[in-house]
Amino acid sequence: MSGQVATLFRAYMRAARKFPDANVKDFLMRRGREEFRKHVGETDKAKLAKIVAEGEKSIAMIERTSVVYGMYAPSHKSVLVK
Amino acid sequence: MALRSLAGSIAKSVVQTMGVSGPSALGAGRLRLGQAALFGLRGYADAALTKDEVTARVLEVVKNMEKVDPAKVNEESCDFTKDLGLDSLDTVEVVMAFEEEFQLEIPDDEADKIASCQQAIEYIAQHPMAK
Repeated sequence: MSGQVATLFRAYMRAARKFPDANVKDFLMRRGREEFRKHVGETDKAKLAKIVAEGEKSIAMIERTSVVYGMYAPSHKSVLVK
Repeated sequence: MALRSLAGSIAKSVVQTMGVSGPSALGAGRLRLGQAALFGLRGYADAALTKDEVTARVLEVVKNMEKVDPAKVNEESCDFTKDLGLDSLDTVEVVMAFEEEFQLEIPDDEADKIASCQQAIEYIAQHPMAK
């Protein structure tokens, strides 16, 4: 079901979009796009389950790392952010 | 410590906007009736987006997407899958680009329904929080 991959992709991008550091955010979004692109039309249930599990682990990792980066965020805004 | 200085700067700005000088205003702790009424009043006339503005911005966003051929984008035939040849992930990306452009948070079930520019324009135009 490509709908499942799309939903996971949306959740991943939402988490990555909120990342405090501009460079890491850029990397996460780019990497997410590349990785998910590989599995777009997947129909095999076992593989789908694996992709979903990996994706959810990545999302949890992004959320934890956002918190840690936020704790030691620099006091000024990065020039990369509008 | 930081909170107190923040509170101090907020208090200072409130005093400045009220046009009253000195600590007497804060000490009294009470706003005059006219000023209190003004605090709650806001003009909403210019806050709503017109449908033309929404259309123009939506088409701009779609044209700027990497996978989209800008020549194919026009208001009438703008179905993401059929006209622009985007797959499900690209559709998700387009909807997220709309979210960023209009500073919205579109819930998943609503986002799944958006499959063409026209649907996006209609959704955004009726959304009260679109900027």
